[in-house]
Amino acid sequence: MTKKNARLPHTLALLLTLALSSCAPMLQSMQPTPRPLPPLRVGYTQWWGDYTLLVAKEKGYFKEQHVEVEPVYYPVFSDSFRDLAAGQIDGAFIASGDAMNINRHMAVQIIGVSDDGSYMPIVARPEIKAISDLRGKTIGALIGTQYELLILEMLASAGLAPSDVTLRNIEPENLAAAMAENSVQAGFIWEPYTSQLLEMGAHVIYPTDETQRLFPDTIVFRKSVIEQRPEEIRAFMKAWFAAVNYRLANPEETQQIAAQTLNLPAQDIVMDPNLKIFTYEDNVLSYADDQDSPASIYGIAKKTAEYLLASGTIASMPDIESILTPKFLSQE
Amino acid sequence: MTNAPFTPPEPRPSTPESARRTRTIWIGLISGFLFTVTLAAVLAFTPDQLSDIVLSLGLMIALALTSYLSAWLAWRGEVTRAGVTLLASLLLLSLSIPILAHGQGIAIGVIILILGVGISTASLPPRYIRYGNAATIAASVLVVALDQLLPDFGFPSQPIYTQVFAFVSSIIFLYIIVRQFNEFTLRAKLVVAFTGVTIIPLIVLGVYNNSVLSAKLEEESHSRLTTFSQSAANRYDNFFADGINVIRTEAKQNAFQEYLLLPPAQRPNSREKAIAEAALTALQRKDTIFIDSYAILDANGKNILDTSPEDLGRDESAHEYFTEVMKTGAPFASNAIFIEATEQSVYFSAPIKDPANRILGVLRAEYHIAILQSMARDIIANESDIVLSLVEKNTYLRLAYTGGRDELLKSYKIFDPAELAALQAEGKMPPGTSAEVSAGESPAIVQGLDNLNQTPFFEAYSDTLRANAINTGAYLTRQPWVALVRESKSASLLAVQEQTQSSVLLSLALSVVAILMALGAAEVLAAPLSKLTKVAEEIASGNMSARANISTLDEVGALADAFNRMTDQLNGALNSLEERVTARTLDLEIAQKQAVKRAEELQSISEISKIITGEQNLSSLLTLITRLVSERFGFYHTGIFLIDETRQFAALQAANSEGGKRMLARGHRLALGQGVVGYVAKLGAPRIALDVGQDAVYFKNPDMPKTRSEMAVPLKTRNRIIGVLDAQSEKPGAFTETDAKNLSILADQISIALENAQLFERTQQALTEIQALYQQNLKESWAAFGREENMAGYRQTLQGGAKVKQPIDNDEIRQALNRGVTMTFEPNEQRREAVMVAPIKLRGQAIGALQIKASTEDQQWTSDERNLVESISERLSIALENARLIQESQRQVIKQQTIRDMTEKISASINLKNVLQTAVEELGRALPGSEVELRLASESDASKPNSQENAP
Repeated sequence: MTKKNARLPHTLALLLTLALSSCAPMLQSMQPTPRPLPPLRVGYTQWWGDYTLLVAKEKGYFKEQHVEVEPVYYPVFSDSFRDLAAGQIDGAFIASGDAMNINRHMAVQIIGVSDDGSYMPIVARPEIKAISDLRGKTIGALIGTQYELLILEMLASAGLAPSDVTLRNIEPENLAAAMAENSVQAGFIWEPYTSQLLEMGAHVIYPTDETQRLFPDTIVFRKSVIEQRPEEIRAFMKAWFAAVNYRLANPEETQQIAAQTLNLPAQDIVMDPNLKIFTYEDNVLSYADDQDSPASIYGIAKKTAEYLLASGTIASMPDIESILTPKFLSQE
Repeated sequence: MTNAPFTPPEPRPSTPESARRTRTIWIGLISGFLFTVTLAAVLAFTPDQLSDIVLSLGLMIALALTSYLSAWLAWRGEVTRAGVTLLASLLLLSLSIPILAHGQGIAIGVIILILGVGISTASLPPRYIRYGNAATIAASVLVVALDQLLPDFGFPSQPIYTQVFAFVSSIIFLYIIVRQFNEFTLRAKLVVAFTGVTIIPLIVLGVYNNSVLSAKLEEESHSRLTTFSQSAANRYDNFFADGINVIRTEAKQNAFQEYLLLPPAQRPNSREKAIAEAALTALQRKDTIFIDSYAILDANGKNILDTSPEDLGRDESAHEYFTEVMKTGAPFASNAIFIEATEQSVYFSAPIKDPANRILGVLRAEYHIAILQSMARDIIANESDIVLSLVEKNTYLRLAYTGGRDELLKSYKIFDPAELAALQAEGKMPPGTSAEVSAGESPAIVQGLDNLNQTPFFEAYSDTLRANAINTGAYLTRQPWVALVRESKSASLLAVQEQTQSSVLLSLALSVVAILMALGAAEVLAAPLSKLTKVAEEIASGNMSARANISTLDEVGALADAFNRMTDQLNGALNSLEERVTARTLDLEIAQKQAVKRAEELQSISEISKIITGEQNLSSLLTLITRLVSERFGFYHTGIFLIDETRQFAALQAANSEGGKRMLARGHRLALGQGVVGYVAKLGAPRIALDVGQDAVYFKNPDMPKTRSEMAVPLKTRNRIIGVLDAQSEKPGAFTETDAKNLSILADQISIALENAQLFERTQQALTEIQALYQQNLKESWAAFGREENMAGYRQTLQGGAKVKQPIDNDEIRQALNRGVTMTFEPNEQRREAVMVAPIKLRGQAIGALQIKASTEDQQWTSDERNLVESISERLSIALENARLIQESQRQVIKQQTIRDMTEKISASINLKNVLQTAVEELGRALPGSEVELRLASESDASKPNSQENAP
């Protein structure tokens, strides 16, 4: 090599090193990308209110918001509590009391209201004509949940003491079977099982009215997920409210989507006319209302907490403020 | 390995091309060999992880095959293609290494650099080498950068092989650098040295820091993992301990006793049942999330009261939570039990005893297994880098798992269906096919769990973490479970990675700085040197005025200073040398001039000698000498003095100058010892007198007023001073010793010439005298001859010839004899006829004359006649002389005969009287008519010398 040529590799190396050094800060910003996070797993059950999730998924609202959501179907609603508590799912649509229960094991937060919970009646076998007939009978209920509260109110309305009846832990999903074999004579129920039971000849022995709507379905996520993936949660909520608007306008399509997803006949997807689906505005109102107002989610949560504390399900009054967070409503 | 001894197909002359071919073949074979050996080592030492490193193995096989391919190509003669193939495949394949073997970038970079530079230098044609090197450098830098910047894709690797490989290659490379260091330019040396000085400590420090930090972090990681696993195990242990304690006390409720004490037939719809059921419900209220149910089993294991009505009447007698309690009477916590898809539970059970401590039945609580998972989440909480699994020891089932949600309740082990069926029948595994219940991440985990007692920490690849992970576990005391925690190795060594990254970037940056500094230093250090070199070259090419203009105070400055001084000295030496050469040249010129002059002088001397040798006349010789010496030597005056007979004076004999001639006319002579000439004449040594000092007095000669210097040399023959040669010049200091010597030589020649002339003169004189004597003798002899013969001549006339008694004497003869030549005479008054007289000459002496009278009066003598007469005259003189000499000789012979006869007669007598008589008689006979007397000498005669001659 001539002397001049011999310099070339050195020059090249020098230039390359220089280029690399100048690129270093840029390259350094290309830090190992974190492992792609799993989709947000959200549990739902057969509930008219929950189908917003399916609509959002099917109609691409989540995709629009660049959030990946995996709906996880729970045939038995209460199973979702366990999975939420075990961290197997990230979110679910549950009542505030359920959230407080779960919160004992896994910190969760209520970030919105899905629906008002509709009328959740207590139905009874045909031979039970009046509440008082329930003395000595067995009533099916989700033991240790706020739903017991309704039963207690009912018993109280008929002058019965809790000890006058036997409370048995029966999921609403299984109530029909239990009532059919007469192991329970009455029970707390919700749609679509209400309709099934009524068809089977059961009757509503204790209806709830608007003032007794204690069990609005809330959108609950694990606190760790909220803290670690707030942008996705925010996107989820955006998609959610978009889907709410859509489903309110298109209930039949919503039914169709649910039927398809759950692989059920459309008629099994009960469109509960009494169920109030909470829009974004409803949510804002619900979060904004005076805590003493029955419409306020805070008020409901507080009342539920008080009951759970009284019933011994929870050991101490939970910090309602920490369970409820409106921060994902401050969008739009 | 196929490193069989390799022989090229045919021996070729050792040209650069064939050498390159041989090198390429060897490089291909050696690289192939190295890759093969590494491959073999990996296969031999890590046979159980082959499936994990299959890609790395593939890469190595590809490299080995390419190496052999390039060796084959080179062997076929396609050397460039072989080199390019090998280099390109090495560089391209190496780019996958940061993905396949993350974390080994630096080692790999070093290997690539060394192999690449080696291959391109050895195998590529010279014009491609720089491209090869540049590509190599680019690839190695890229590999290092990629390794630092890409995430770990989690392919397992064996860094030790890479590091050994890199170490060996580095040693070779360093060896080559050290060997060739001397051949580098100063700039290259400085760059290498600076880079080395910067990088090597950085690398050493980096490696040391990394190893220390790695060890520390590993230790920390181990300790953290241990803490985690231990605390998880404790947490679970506590959970079970608490659960057992709780159920033990719960079983003591009277409601249960009373209910069980009822005969079975009375139990339905009994008040005790309602109370017991309410009590059970109340118990379940503790945790409505995870407690699936509370139940009372009778002594036969039959579920007689349950918060989950669907389980009523179920026979649970086969379960451990029943049998154990019945057997031991102690509370019990079960393993995980899978009855069906919906029942995946852990049971706590305790005996319900009557006051007599008889076991009436069993209270059992069914906890959903998800509680374990919930606890696991709680334990790990925010530690996203740590994965906790609660693993059943025998089934490797993840009872809790904070990794992927889908792997929960799946085994690390892949079961074969029969084994799985058996476990499922025992309720030890959840229902499902082998694929459904297993999520094997790495066989290493199963192996590690089995050997946990021996090796508490083991490495295994984690799908969840997508990285190699360090695992450790802690056994639960009650359950056959392991709380297994793992942490991504790269996460645990994140600090190391960050440090390495910053070290590498720092190294790169410092390399740049070092190279820039080296270039700067090269400017600072090498520039003065190259400047100095240029100056030296300038000086070498002859520009002696060039000077190094370096003002630094360091060694280079000192060198430049010394160099300048050296140049000055050299310059001075050269100048003085020049001066000396000039002086010498001048001297030489002078010497040459002198030599020429001397040669000329010698030539002159020779010529003068030659000329003067030819002159035999002394006086003209002397004059000639003075003239010649004066002419040839350029002296304005030359004189010759000869010492007189008395040896009192030196008299001027010849001179060329006017003044000299005047002195000569005046009879100038000098007493010996007087003046320069007198001095030389006396002492016989040359003398030079200059117009200065004590000699000044000699220059007041009025005849020679212009003389400013004088030189006198002696003229000697046979060591006898005969005279002096005196030369004078108008120039002051005109004479040197050399002149004196030269003139001495000339003087010797002159002396010889003078002597010769003198000798010749004397000889001439003697000869003249001898001739005169001879002629006298001849004249007398002829006169005597005439007398003896009585004949004065001979006359021949027409009448005949006759002796002439009286000498013929006339004017004509007298004239001819006097003149010595043949003369003709016209008739005159005294005679009528013409006469020719030719003298008869013998050795120049006229001994007679031939007189011829013409026969007629008017006859003219022709030249032929004259020549004839002269010839005859000459022959006649010779014939006459011969005749006379013969006569003389005959007379002498007779005389000698007579003497001999007399002597013989005298000698024959022995008697004195006879002798005397004989002698007298004989003498008288020899001299007829003479009277002979003989007398003996008396005593009175003795006092008279030479008396014999005068004897009578």
